Amino acid sequence: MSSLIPPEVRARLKSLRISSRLTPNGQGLGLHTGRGRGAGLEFAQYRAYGQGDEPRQIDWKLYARSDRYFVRDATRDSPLSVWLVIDTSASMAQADPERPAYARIDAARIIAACIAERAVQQGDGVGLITVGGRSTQGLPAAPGARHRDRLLLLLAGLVADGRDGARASPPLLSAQIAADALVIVISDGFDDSLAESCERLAAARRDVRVIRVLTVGENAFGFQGSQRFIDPESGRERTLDAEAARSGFLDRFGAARREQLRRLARHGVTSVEYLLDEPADAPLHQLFAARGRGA
Amino acid sequence: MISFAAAFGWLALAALAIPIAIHLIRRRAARDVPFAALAWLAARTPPRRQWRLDDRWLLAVRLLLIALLAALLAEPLWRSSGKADTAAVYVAPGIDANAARAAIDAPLADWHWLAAGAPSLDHPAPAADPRMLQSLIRELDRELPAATKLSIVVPTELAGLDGERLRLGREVVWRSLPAVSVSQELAPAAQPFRIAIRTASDQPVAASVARALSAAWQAAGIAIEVDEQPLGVPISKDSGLLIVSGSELDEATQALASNGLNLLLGDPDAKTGEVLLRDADGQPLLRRQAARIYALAGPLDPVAWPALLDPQLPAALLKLLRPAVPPRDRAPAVSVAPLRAAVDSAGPARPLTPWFALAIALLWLIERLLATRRRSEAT
Repeated sequence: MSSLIPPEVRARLKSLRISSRLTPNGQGLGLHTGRGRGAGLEFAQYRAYGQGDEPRQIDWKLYARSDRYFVRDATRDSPLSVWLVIDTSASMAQADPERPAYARIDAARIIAACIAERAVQQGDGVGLITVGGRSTQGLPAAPGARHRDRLLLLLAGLVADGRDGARASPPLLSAQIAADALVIVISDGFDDSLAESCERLAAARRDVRVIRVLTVGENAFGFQGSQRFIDPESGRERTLDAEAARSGFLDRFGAARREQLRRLARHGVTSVEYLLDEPADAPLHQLFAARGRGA
Repeated sequence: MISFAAAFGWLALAALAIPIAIHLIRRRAARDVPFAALAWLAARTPPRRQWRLDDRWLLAVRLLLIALLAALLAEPLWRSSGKADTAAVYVAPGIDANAARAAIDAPLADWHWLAAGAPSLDHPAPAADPRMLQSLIRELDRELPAATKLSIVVPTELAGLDGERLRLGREVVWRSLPAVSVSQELAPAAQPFRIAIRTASDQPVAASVARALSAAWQAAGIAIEVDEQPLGVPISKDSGLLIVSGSELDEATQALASNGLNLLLGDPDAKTGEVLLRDADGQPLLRRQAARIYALAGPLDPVAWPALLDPQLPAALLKLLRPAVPPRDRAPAVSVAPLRAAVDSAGPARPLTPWFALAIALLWLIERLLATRRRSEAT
């Protein structure tokens, strides 16, 4: 069991059901309505009995009516493969001055742990890829508690260290993430190339969800007095009076946020914003509540 | 009621600028904030110079601390304000007590002699010392509670005044009455300088030289009374100077000389004694034979001894015979009435310095507490 997830968040996780818009095509037995036909509860079709079918699968009542052998096919419940894509650029290390121990990367860790926890309980496979950092780390998607523990171990060691000029080349996500997978991207959204790869993935039949982690300072800009703002990735800095800059910043940044949400939505990517003062499971409930019980 | 003995100590309040400056300077140092959304921050917003102060409580404590230190330098004193209806009348010795009681209508007042120890007016008048008068009045102003109404009765003419005009921290009823007895101290200026001239009848020149000397002194502004008689006539007891042509003195005259009479002898015979004056050639002009007995080096005859005509002789003699008159120290009482001044207000005072020091120590502790708490929060 992981200590990453706060108890009150874990208590609320029971009601979370991770699901994909796409029908999964994985092997094995899962909770999600799969594309394959086979044993299951949900009726799919009748088909003629052929060689290889087990005799007990024959629908005898239909045989009585039609005098022919038919096999009752059901949709097979398949496991989902969930991919976590976590941004480890240096800006993810940014925290609010009021709560310096809770940076974006810490929030990302907890959210990812929640997803892994839930996915393993559902029998789905979880994989992890980091992007934007000094190095690229990852784990292939696999089910099981042991795999989840490996993933939690990797999560615990994540460092947000990707600066301009010291960054691993972005991995080709579509090569690692199979089609029909659910991709959950946890990022601060300041990297346009990540947004573009999200759009490409969504176009290539992956269900992409983006959780944009914002600090309270970026949302409300509650700074006071003269401050020197330093971009952690480029190292550029700007000294200005916070009160004077507030309204202009909130206008421009708010417009940029809305524009990004719109742009992602246009490409079929569902995205939510998560502020660092909210509970860590809030974006997950927001992402997966609307779809209800599966597609 | 708090008053301050050294008001210039408040100049230390200028140090209030120090903590204010410290807080302003520390404020101006911009804090570093990692901020990834830098691109949406307007580049043109200048860091507005804001005169805002950090840590208002700490600053307030520091300002108070410095203000208290300045107050400590100003030497705070505590005076209990007495009852407003008390009155005190002080009468200078030398004035009739009953006349003073009649002059000032204050039946309920405390009546005292204006003398050391302030004895009651019912006691006999203490010895008068006019030089102490102003000092005593200043002391009264300090010692009496501020609310006490002070009346002072002094002689019409005050003697023994010092160089500083009386300046008191309260209104004073200043009344002058004629003194009962003019003390000896007040008299001498009015008396003329009596010169007795005793010359032998066969030396008329000596008499005219003596007269010329006294005329020269009179011209210098000295009131002079000349008593010119032949040799052998007794001189009056209050004479100040005897000019004798010879060196022979009878016993009565010698007795007077030992009693305060100056003698000037025209004595060509005696050539001993300390030389007091020499002429331009270095020859002795005047000798001191004994205390108060001066002898000319030649006879009282300008023909026989031309050095007698030396122009510096009369002035030098006068200087010897009548030492410089002390500066004028007397004035009509009306003209030296005390002035109302911002002198430290009256009343017996208790120093508050220990209490202020205690308060400063406490405040300093609080200041340290606030300052260190702030630092530990920052880290």
